[in-house]
Order: sequence, then C-alpha cells, then structure tokens
Amino acid sequence: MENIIEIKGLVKNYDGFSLKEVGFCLPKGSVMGFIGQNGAGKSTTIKAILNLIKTDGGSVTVFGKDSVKDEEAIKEQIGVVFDEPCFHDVLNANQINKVFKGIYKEWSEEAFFGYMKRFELPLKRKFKDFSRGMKMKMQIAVALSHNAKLLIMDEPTSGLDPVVRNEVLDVFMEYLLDGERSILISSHITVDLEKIADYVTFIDKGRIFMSDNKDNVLDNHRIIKCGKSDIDKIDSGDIAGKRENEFGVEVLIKSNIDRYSDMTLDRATLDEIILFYVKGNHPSPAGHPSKEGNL
Amino acid sequence: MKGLILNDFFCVKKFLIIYVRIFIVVLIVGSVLLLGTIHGNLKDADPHGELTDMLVGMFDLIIPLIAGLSVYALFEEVFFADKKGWSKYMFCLPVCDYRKVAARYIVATSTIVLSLVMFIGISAAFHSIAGSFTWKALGVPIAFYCVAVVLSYTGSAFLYWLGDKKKMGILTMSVYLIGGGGAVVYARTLEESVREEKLLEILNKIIDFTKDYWYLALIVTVVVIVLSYFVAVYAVKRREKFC
Repeated sequence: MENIIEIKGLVKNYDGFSLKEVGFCLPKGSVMGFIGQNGAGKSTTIKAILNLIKTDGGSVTVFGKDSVKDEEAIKEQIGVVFDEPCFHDVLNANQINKVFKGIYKEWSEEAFFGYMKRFELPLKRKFKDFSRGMKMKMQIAVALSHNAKLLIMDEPTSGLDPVVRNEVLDVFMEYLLDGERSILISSHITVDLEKIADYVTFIDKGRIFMSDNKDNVLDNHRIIKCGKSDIDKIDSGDIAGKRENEFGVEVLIKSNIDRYSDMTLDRATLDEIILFYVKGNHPSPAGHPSKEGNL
Repeated sequence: MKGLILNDFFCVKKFLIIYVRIFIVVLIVGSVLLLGTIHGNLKDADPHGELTDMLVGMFDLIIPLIAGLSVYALFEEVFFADKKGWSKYMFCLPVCDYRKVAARYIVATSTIVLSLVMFIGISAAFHSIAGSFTWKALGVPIAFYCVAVVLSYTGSAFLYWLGDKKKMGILTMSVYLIGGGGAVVYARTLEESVREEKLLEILNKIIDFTKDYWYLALIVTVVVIVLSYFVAVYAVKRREKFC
C-alpha cells in the first residue's frame, strides 16, 4: 500500500526533551490517530512533518517527496489545522476567502462557502468575534477547500463541545470517501480517534511505543480484572501494564489472549491502553483508568 | 504571495483609512489658517509674513511627525503585533520564505511611500500657499520622516532576528543611542569648547546640509529597507522561533 507519510528515525533534541528515533507510516486513504499525553512529542513530530522545525536526524517524506526540499509542492496538497486560532482577528470569512484564493492554486470558493453555510459561520463577522468552536470550524473549512490530499491536524477537537466535535468528525469522514485522501490527527481525546482512525500511533516521552492498525490494537489487548493472588497465573511477557487497587489488580494483556479465556476479559479502549502502557506499572490513586475519554 | 499581501493589507486597511482622514483634516485646517493669514482677516495682523512663516514652519514639523508616528503604528500592526498563530500557520502555506517576508515588506513599504507622497503633497501645498515652495524647503521634513522609517525597518529586522519584541526594542534603542552618542563624542572632539552658540551653529549647519542633500536620506532609507529585508529572510529561514 502506498504511504502518504513516511517518517524514519526522526530525532529532535531540546533542553529536557527529545524525539527519539520516531518512525511511522500513514497509508494512503486512511486516518492515523496520533496519541500521547501533553508533552509526549505529538506537536513536535507534526512540526517536523511540516518542516516547521529543523530536525537533528532522520527523514520525513510526504507524498514520496522530501519534506524539506519539496516543501512548497507538498504544502500545496496539505491542509493544516492547529489547536489555536490562526487567522488575524480583523479578518472576516469573505476576506479569508480572498487571502487563500491568492495562495492555493486549487482553492475552491464554492467549497469554502459551502462549508461556511454548513458550519453556519457568518461571512461578515470578524474572526475575533467568533467562538472557539467557530474559529476551529473556520480553520477546518480552509483546510478542506483547496483539494488537499492530506490533512494534518494537531488537537483539532480539543476545547470543542461534543456536538461540534461530532459535526467535525462527520466532515472528516466525508472528506475520506474517495479513498485518495488521508488524515493525520493528533489528539488526546481518544474517543474521537476510536470513531475515525484506521491506524493509531502511540507516543510517550518522545518515543513511539506502538503503531498499528487500530482494530489490531484493540483486538490484541484485553483487560483482566483479578485478585492479587491470581496475577501469578498471567505470563509476565503478556502483560503490558497493571494497576493495583484495594479490590485487586487490573492487568492489560497484549498477547496470547486465548490463553486466559477462563478469566474475565474486557475489551480495552485506546484510552485504557495508553494509560496502562504509560502509567500502568504504578498504582493509580483513583484505582481506575479515566472513563471519560480524556488522558 | 498575492494572498499574503492581501492578508496584511486587510490588517492595515482600517489604519490606512484613519491615516488618510488625519491628513485630510490637517490639509483643510492648515490651508484655512494659511489662507486666512495671507488673504483673509489676519492679513493686516501679519504685514511682514512672520505668522505665515511660523505656521509653515510648524506644519513642516507636525506633518512629518504625524507621518513618522504613522510609520510606527503601521509597523506595530504589520510586524510587531503578536501573531504567533498566524506566523506558525504561514509556514504551512505553499509560499517560499522570500515571498513570505516580501509580502509584509510590500505592504509596509507601499504604505510608507503613500504616506510620503501625501505628506510631501501637503507640505508642498502649504509652502505654495505661503509662496515659499522649493524642494530644499521640504528637505528637512523628508529627512525627519526617513529617520522614522529607518528606525522602524531596523526594528523589524531585529524582531525577525530575535523573535522577541522587548529584545528588539532594547537592541534598536541601544544601536541608535550608541550611534548618536558616538556622533556627539566625535563632535566634541572636533570642537573642544562647544558653547550654546556653537551648538546652534552646528544645528543650522546640519539643517542647511539636510536641505542641500536630503536625497541622501532617501538613498540611506532604501538601503536600510533592502538590508532589513535580507536580514528578515535569513531569520525566517531559521523559522523555529516563529513556530
């Protein structure tokens, strides 16, 4: 399968933080959920893909081209959404349309105003007077209006209410319908990713610890709830993480699920999987992983 | 690049409208005052034209001052305002670094040229009404305006370089204070006993020199704009501080 993004051995060093040999691929026509805690390295990786930072090693190719040498050609085909407002406060939708018409070769006014109507965004109101949800929708409308083959989004749904988040996710699903387009979406709201992602990549402390098809990840992990004495029955090689509480132990199994069919096996969510991997070897004060979908 | 130019233009549009209005007000008020002094009811009170000369001299200072302040206001809007979100987003657009900077410089420079043309036009109109128009008479205000432009472009280059408004302000002021201080020290070494009269003489000499060679200020300004552009492009290529 053709890869839209290929990252190999990406290294970036900052004081107190570094990306360590980050590598993953985004296949064409799919959605990759990029999951990690705040400060895990998601945004840094995205910046490296977009050539917003100089890297200290490794390579990034997008559409098979070098992300630095072929920057302009690549960016013509990328739509970007950040978690913070990007447009000038004084601009309104009509002006934003004119600005981007002068930037992208394939800018479609029809598509842009179509999204304006669909998102119920006013055309004459200034950007500064928009709510956070409206600002996010405006960014998404711009990202989708120049026939981009790839959407790169850094926490696009953070701070949005569930209704708007659902609306936005529906738009992303429609965007993917022709099978030619791909999305890389970083988020710590894993319930969103469970809805739309085909692949998931987990990052923690600047290191990728899992990158696979989402269904494989979910199918290959189970949570066993058992007493503390029963934990010896589980092969330590199968354990991804465990959490002790006053009632017993919760263990995340990452392989040989069938071997434990006599025990109570629960499907794990993406949220639980990352929690067990990242924090799973320490007792949780609350006793349970978050059930709200937020890390 | 057209889109980036439009983007910056939309940002300064409101400022431009206010600016043009201020100039129109100054033109009307100045013309009424001067015409009143020369041909109207103040004609008898100013038989030797001293009031007229004083008014023209005052406008020679006020107009470039307004223009100079407008340059700062413009740069505040185009270059200095905190637009971290947009700066980051701009680097995701299919536009090369040269053009990213060029778009801002085109908007800023064309606004400055417009401002220069307006203030020269108004000054020329006042001098013509007073019957004292010569290009030399416009030399000092033009040079004064050029100083504001040079300071602003130097500041913008430093801002691109340092990525911090406070550091930019400190560096710009330091450079020009050191430059100005150096000039004073140099002047004092040339004339050991500089008295008040001498200072006035020096000032008059500077004014006369400026009237004769005001075009040098324009040349220096153009050179500073070009240099500041290349400094900005070099800084943008390092991009991390913008993202």
